[in-house]
Amino acid sequence: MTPSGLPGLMLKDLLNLRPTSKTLIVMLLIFGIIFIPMGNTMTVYFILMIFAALVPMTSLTMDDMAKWDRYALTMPVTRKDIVRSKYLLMVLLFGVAFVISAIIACVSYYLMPANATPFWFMFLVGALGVFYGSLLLPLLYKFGSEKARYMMFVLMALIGLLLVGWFALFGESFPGDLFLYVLITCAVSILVFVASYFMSVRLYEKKEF
Amino acid sequence: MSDAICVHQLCKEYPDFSLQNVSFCLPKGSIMGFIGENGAGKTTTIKTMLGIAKRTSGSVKLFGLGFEDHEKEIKNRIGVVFDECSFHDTLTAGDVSKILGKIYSTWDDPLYLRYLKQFDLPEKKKIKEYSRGMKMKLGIAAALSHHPDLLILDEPTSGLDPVIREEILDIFLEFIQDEEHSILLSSHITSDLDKIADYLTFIHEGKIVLSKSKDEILDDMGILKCSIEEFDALDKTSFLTYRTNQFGCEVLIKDKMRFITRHPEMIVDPVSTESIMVFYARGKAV
Repeated sequence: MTPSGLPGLMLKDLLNLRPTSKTLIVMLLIFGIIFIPMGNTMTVYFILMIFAALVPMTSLTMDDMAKWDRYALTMPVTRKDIVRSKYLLMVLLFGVAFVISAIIACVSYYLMPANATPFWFMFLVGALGVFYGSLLLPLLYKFGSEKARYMMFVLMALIGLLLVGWFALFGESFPGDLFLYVLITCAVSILVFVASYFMSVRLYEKKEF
Repeated sequence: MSDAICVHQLCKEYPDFSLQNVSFCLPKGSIMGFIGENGAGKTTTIKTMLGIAKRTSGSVKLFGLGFEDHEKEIKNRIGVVFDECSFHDTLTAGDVSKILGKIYSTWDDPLYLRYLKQFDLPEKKKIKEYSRGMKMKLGIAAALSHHPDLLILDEPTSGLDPVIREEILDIFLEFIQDEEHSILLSSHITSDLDKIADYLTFIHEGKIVLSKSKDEILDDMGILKCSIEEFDALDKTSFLTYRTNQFGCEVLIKDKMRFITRHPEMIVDPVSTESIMVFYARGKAV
């Protein structure tokens, strides 16, 4: 099998994100120091997942600015590879966000079991984050990073509403049912993620640079 | 002799611009200058050729292979440089090598480092701190370091000073020493093409107006200088385009020798690449 070029494309994104990641780490530390001692780990999960959803968008914007795509298309990579690398980046980032959240969750359970945020909440926030990121990428491919930036805020409000709605509907359920609802939400967002990938591939196949 | 590039009847429609039946072939082992004024369709042709923009119709073969079935193979064998640096500002020349080494199966790191040294490009400096000339040279170093058989360069020398341009042209001449290698070089800096091109292809308003070997063009074509009355009286079969000025008429003719034998009294000057470009862009069709 010929190499797909995917590792190269992902390495390019990771190297490019070095300055961004430094800022994000500093921000995270500040938020962490403020919120975690208050027992408000929820906010930190939320911020982590938003970072994970927004960073692929940053990398796309940087590609646009450098006119990278037209150059990448002269290399032995397919259009599908280019889209796939962004989705893999998103998976990787959510993985990292999830691991950090899990560590925070474990530590806060150990230190303050009484007012720690329940574990399932982490999954719920993660699911909404994936959902958010999955909506964003096709919009970026369709409208370009410049226009999609504004849609990002509208979408963010939508996700906020979804979260509030989710709590209004399921927040008071019995623990068993609650687990089921969280599971369904996760499954839905994974489905949306997969659908989003195929949609982005289709949009990108038609794109010209 | 086989062709490195063969473009046949390539068309691309945009709302405000179109490429119309662009056809040309670049024989292996040679350099083709692709000439036209700004907006003539040089970059569009290159992008459409490579599938970066979708063609409306026509066919493109590189090394005799079509993109439909051999995309990766073709792309492994070409090196492309655009008029602007395509690497992100935050990267360094060292990063570029790490990335491209994972993309090209034939990436040659020692060769790349040698080019960086030859071009005085610091490996650890961020690309945003590079000058325009340095960025261009980095693009060329990157394009050469996976041992391509064909270089496609879109205005690689525009905006650069004569010293750097000369240096870059030398690299191209060195590359072409291997008979399997070929270069397509788009430019509106005609002096660069005069120095290195074997073939010239002129494009104007999305159409190819001329595509021949440089020697043939310079031998066959000429510029006739005459008065408007003379122009009106002459047989116009050898005329291509003409321009009028306050002293009379200048006509681009396609068969200088035949014309001179028929009209020994007339003045026919030799053509230059630049004058042909200007004649096609600004002259009136006969």
